Amino acid sequence: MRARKAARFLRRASVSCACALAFLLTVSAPISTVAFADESGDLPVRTDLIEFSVRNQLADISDPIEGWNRRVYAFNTSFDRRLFLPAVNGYRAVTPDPVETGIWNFFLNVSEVRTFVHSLLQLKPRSAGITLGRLVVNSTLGVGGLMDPATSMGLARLSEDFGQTLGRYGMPDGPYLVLPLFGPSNLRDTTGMAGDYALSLVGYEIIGLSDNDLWPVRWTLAGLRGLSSRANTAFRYHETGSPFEYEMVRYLYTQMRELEIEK
Amino acid sequence: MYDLCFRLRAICVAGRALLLVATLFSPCFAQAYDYPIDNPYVATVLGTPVEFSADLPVDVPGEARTLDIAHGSEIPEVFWYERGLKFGFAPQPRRAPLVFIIAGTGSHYKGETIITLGRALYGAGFHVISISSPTQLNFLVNASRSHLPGMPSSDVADLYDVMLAAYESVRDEIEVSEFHLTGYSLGGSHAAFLAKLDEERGAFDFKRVLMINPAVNLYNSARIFDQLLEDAIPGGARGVGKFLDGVIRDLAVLYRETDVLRLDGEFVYSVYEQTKSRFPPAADAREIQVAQALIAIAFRIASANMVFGADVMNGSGYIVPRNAALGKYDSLTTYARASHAVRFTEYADDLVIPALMASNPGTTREEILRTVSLLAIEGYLASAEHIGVVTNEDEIILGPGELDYLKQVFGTRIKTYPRGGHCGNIAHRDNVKFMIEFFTGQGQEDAR
Repeated sequence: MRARKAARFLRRASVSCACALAFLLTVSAPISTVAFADESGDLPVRTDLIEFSVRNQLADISDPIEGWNRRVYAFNTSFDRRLFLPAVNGYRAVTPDPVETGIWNFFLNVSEVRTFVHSLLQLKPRSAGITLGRLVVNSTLGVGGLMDPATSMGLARLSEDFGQTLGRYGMPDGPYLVLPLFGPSNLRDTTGMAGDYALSLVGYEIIGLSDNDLWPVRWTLAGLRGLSSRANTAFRYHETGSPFEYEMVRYLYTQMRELEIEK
Repeated sequence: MYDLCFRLRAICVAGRALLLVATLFSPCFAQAYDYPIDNPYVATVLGTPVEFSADLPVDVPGEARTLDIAHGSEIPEVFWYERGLKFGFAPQPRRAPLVFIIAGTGSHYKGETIITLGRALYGAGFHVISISSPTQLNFLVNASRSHLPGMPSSDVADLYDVMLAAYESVRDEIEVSEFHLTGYSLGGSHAAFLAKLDEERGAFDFKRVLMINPAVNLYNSARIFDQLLEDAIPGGARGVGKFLDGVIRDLAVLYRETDVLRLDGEFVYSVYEQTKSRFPPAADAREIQVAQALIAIAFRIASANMVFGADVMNGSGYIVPRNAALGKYDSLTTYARASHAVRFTEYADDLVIPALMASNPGTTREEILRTVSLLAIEGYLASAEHIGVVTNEDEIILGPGELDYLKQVFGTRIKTYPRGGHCGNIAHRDNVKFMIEFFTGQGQEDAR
């Protein structure tokens, strides 16, 4: 479930213009026009810039294990380029477009259950109502969730998860974390992700998929969901053209989650 | 009540009369330009709404290609992910003319604008090769000799080499009948200099060259953007954080109201429409201010990426201290802030111009600044019949008198649209039609 969450985030992140703009909030360093030469004298050195930057801690996001996070970010980049994207391309090549869309819709429909549960936990009756409506409409008219007639009926998809529920009840986001394969997160959202995983086990129990012998089914579903979600995510690592992509993604993830929780 | 009915009827009558007049004079008004956004800043940010856009092919074949042309220099650890120069290539299955497209400031070969142009040209039957701007990080790291982009003299030589190498790498896959060249924004200005350079080096012998929304003087245009940041944001660069806080709060309010949060062009347009209908007179000033600020910020971000790249590649100590050897996993947050505080013109004055003066002893700052303007190749442009310009009457990157200057130099070879700001109308159906006809030569024949 977390993969989809991250995927959705990344899709947004890929809208480079918007995210680049938002990014500047973190880098609002004051301008100083004082330039002076260093000892070697051939080029002016703007040490004043650095000094101001260090002093300006205004919109900082807590990232105490940045070194580790950056390693994971780099690992994710390589994983994405060498394994994940080639696999996704293979998946897209063998599935006709309507099938692909159907599979993606199916997983989105399953995730409505999570949104419904968390809408209730956050005491959001309207959100719970819409989500339940979508689940019923798409599971019946939409042939088990393969199609999404609910959206064209005016029921736009919402998304709630454990991390948002925790945030809603006042849990701070905690240090920023980059998770292997899943990407940007923080302590609160990682906790939420574990919670949602536990809930999904309960779900498997209910629909009778929890039997030990059925592990291939569960793994196939998980793999398919991962491929489908990546296929529907435009983000490509290090193609924003920004040397500060790590900072940009960190900032945008944090802001987006804050907006989602406030909502 | 009666009054209202009367007024409605009067409006209907007036409307019908207008329609009649319009039909009578339709040859005169045949194709009134209907690009809808009349503020140039808002147009620049929002681009062309879908209902006014040309129908473009969705599936353009070809993937990014990578060239290994690092001019012998090592790529620093911190840019490990930028190894290899990337360009876009969309081949036709048959013999066809090839168009090179050069991106604008800070944009790469698959930015939104270049994709639009590429789809239009590919759809019209051209092979397309799209090249990142020399001011873009991937180009800067891989293909720049000086690693100090911003001056056409060196950037254009680098660009020309990249175009040669790119063509060389794909020439076995395609059959080319003739070469064309285009570029937008800074890339539009580059196209002019490239055309001149090709006149000397002769590798492509461009049949037609179209400059789309070019700058006349790169330094002036950069100064306009730098100034916009100071003017549109209370407190200038110091106020950017606070200003964006406000924009994000607006977004949050809208998010709560609409339940949907998307950050694509469609969404921004719907926001624009919504806010316009909700607060008709008041929102305009705010919208214009927001648009101005967003443009200025976008330019500053492009500039900051370039400043940081140039600084690291040169080890100049301007942003990153000389003794700090940046590794693959080092935090760049402090340098990000520092880079964003630098004006483009400061970068030019502090790094680029001194370096040029050092490598060409005896040249003055004024002489160098003269080379950043189209004025430097005015004689060539005035007589180069194969070069055309398309821009807008309300173009924001031109200083006082610069549009008139373009009109004077290019005469009948310049086409201006009444609205569109900076590249806002590139995807408009009229603009796309004009561009395609420019390269197919139909426009000229029709005119005769």
